[in-house]
Amino acid sequence: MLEPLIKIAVLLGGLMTAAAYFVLLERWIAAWVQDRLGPNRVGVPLTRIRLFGLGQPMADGGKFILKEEFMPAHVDKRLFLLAPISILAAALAVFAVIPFGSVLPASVYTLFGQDAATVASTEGPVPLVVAPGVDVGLLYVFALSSIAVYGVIVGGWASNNKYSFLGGLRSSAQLISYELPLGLAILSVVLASGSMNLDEIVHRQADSGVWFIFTQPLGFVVFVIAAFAEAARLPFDLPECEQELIGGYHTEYTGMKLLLFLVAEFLHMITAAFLIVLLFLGGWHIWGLAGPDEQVTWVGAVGRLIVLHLKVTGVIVFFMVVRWSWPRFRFDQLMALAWKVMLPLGMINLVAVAIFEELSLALQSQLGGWTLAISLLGSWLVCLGAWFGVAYATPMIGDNRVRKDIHTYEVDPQI
Amino acid sequence: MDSAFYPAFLFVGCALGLACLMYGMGRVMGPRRAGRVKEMPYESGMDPINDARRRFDVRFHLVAIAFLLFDVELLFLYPWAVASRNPEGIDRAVAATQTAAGAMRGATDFSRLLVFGEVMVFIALLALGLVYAWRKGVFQWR
Amino acid sequence: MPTDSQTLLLLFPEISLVCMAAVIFVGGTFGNNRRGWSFYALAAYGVAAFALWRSADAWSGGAAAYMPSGPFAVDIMGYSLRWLALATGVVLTLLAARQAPKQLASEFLGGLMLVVVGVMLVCSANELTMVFLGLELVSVPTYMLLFLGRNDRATAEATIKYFFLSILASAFLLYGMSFLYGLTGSTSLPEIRASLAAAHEIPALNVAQQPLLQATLVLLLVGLGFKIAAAPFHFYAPDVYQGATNLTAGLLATAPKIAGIAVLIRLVVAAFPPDDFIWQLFMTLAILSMTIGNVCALWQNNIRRLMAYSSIAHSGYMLIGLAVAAAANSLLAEETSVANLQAANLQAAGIAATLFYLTVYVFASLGVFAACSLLAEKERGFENISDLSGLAKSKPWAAGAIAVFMFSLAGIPPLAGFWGKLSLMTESLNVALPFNGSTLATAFCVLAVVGMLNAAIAAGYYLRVIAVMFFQPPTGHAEPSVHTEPVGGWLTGAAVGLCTVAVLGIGLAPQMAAEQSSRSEDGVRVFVTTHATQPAANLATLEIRGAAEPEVTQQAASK
Repeated sequence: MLEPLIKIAVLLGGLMTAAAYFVLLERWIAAWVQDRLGPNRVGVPLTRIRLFGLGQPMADGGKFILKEEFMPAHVDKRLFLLAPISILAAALAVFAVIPFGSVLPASVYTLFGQDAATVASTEGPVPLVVAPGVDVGLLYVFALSSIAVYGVIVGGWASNNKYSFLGGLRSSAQLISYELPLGLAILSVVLASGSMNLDEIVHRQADSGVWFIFTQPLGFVVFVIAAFAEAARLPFDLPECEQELIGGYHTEYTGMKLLLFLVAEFLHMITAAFLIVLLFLGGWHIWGLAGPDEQVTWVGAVGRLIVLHLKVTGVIVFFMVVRWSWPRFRFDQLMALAWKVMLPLGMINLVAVAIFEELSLALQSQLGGWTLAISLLGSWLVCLGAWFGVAYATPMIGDNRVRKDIHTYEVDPQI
Repeated sequence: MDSAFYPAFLFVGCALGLACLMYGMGRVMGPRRAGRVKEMPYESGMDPINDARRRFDVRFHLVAIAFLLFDVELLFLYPWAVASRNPEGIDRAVAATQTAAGAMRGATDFSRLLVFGEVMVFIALLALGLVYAWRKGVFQWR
Repeated sequence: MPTDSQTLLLLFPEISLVCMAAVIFVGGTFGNNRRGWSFYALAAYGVAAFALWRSADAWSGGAAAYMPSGPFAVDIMGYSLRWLALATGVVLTLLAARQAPKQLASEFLGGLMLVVVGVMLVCSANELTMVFLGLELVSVPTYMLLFLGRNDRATAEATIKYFFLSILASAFLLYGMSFLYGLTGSTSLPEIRASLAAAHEIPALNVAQQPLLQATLVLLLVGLGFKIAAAPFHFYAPDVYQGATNLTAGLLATAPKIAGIAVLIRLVVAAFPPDDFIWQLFMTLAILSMTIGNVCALWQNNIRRLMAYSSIAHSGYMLIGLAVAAAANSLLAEETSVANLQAANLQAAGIAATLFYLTVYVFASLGVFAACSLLAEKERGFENISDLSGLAKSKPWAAGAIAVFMFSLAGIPPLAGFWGKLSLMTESLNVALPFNGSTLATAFCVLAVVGMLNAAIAAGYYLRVIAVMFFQPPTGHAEPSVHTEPVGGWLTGAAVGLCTVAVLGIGLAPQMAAEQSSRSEDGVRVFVTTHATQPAANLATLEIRGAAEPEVTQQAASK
């Protein structure tokens, strides 16, 4: 009882802090990309200590709390409230099955007053995940992240505002469209690892020493792009594009309710980064850190923790750099990319992985160590082929011609 | 209650609690100043015309239906994906048919290859469905 | 049980049809040539028929030993009904070659093909899941086909009506199936049979299960009664047929009926333990369906409405055979082993008569709709019986064909329908005779009498159609243009011809066996084995042998 509660407390605190400080990081990176200074003034209140602006998130949070809690008259009140709460709760709850480290040695129990001898004989290492035994972990992640669609569309509908309504529609179409390639990419990882438990997937990569990014490069690409879209990050931020839809589904939201939406968005990005690292980048593994959980020392445990979080931070920084480097897609381009490029690529990847898996099982006895080399070569060839294929097919998929079928509406001269 | 999901449910509860707490904090500490203009829908400063909930493009429905089909079919693939490499999965089923009891029930040539072939046919049907929807213009947005 | 290549081979007709349907669907988006795809579909049916023919050995020889609990029953009933389904598909495709909507022809033909596959799967399904999936594979494309038939409000209304009632019926069926699963703990039909039979032997358990079994039976019959349009569940039929086109009405009149009868035989007659309630239920449904269908048909002017009531009535006739089989089932347990054998033969004969009647009905009914398509004006399709007036002069061949179908449906002696009705009535009387005054015997006497009375009523409206064609001068509605510019074409003509040949062939062949058939139940078996449903009788005997033997040994043991 106590153990999961402690983990939950650590995780919730860490996540909320991380979401706050990643906002600051994002603004710094924006400033760096645009050659400005960025937020660097807010430090310790009532002093002149600035701390490079590290107080900024606190100030932002305080501001949000003190804003008016306002519900417009025309909205559907219950749904209007339900949307931000459910989206944030779902975004947080995803982390129940996502390992935020590897394990801590069993001797951690002695810190809580247990006898060292009994700990050594009875307790195994402590897994750093809230619900370690859930063997359908990936499905759980998938299911909860789908709730984001509900949050968005319910919020857009309840607002009873044209911007919100359009934003809600668009974003639900986007989120469900990109869920398919995401699912296909995950499927091929599950196929290669034989498990849906994230910890076991990481172990599979650590034990063989070959991360799935090397054996499934095409799957990695598909997954990263779909994860960008699922997290609604630029260049896929059509749900809330400020310039066109004035914030999309959260046009009518203010104060704390808006904050819930914004935090949930950042949490989606963090989730996506975690999944990318765990599924494709070897999780906590770096060469030299492998080995069964039971034999992990404190040094190894902390090392794994640091490696995982460095990787995640790296991916998040990548997310942010991309945000300030690419313009937004047009909606038809977005849908074409999802259904006409990503989905076929996901299928190709799945079939290729299935074939390589089946072949390497069949030929393992004859070829020995060469099977890995051959499947590596094959998968990179598939990735390369897909790249060329997409490049060749782009004129078929993208459609940037001037539309002739749109007639301009005549303006009534009296208006 | 001794389920692997128990901590996960606990987490869901805590997350809901945190979200409600955050909302409640804003509600307690924020000021209240209602106003008639404030209560109007925001339409860039213009007076709003009509209700916002109107009929919308049928293509959204088409995409939703296509998603439903493909997503459900993807879910059918998960059991295969898990069982494929798992020693408790396909390999064990194949081994079971090699025994005398299996042979008696008529399953003489059940093998990994047959499962693989069936899954590939399944994926091919999925791909055909995609081609059909594509050609029918479901994904045509302009 | 895992699949192996043997199963795949046996199911090759279905598999090939599904693949070709997928090709039609996708190919149609590249080039929508109605005529071309029709010929392709016909070729696909040809391939399936070839595969079915090649697999005949596996189905008929040593079949019972193979796959005792697999998802598919390898028996002759399934085999012969699959042929019937294929024939239905071919006739409907011939019609669709001229009638399918031009823009969506490939969807129409592909949907038709999937319906046929559904019927074929149901006919050989040996597993509750497979039964339900097959029935849905019949229903779901049917909604689409109904809607595609014509682009007007009446069609849309008919489609929606059928859709909602059909999913309601499916829900009832599924509910009944879940009861059945709860009672037996298995979805495999042989295991259900064995489990129910075992429970029947234990009196206490039997008493406890009785109400549940009866509830299950009622639920199943609601679901399946809708599929075959039996009487209390027939309300949709007239409206839907009227709103549909001739082609889709033909589909509705045949495909769900074949599937529904097949499931009734497999799931109810062969699986349920002897219980008077079963034949009472069947008999009630039969009498209701026959009477309501025939009496209401007397007032109809719209030809498709008339055919709808006629199809309701014919469901009633088919249910007579099932009632006979169910009653024979309850005779099994009561009498001595000699009587048991007799009862087994009776059950076989009842099932065989139903299947024979089904075959005849399918061809005759399809024939009427095909002939209507041949005569229909462009777009509208002709509606009323009065439109037929004077047809004998303007189109003697079409009038002749319609006359043949109507005579057959009415059961006028030399035609196939007569033999069907004859064998049904004979079986019904066979249950009752020798008359011993029991409830069962009285009931079946009444059933036979009601059946014959109904045949007389039915003759009234069938003959009216013929009278209009042959003895009335063309009236205002039937302008020459109607008859001189038919939508038909030679493919539709071929469909009509096919049905005519089938009805005439089935009708004329048994004349040779007519003398033999006068000898009670044995004679009917000879009579049936001499023509189209020959395998059906074999199957029935096979089934009965399986069902009867344990009973016989039980009886022997108890002595």
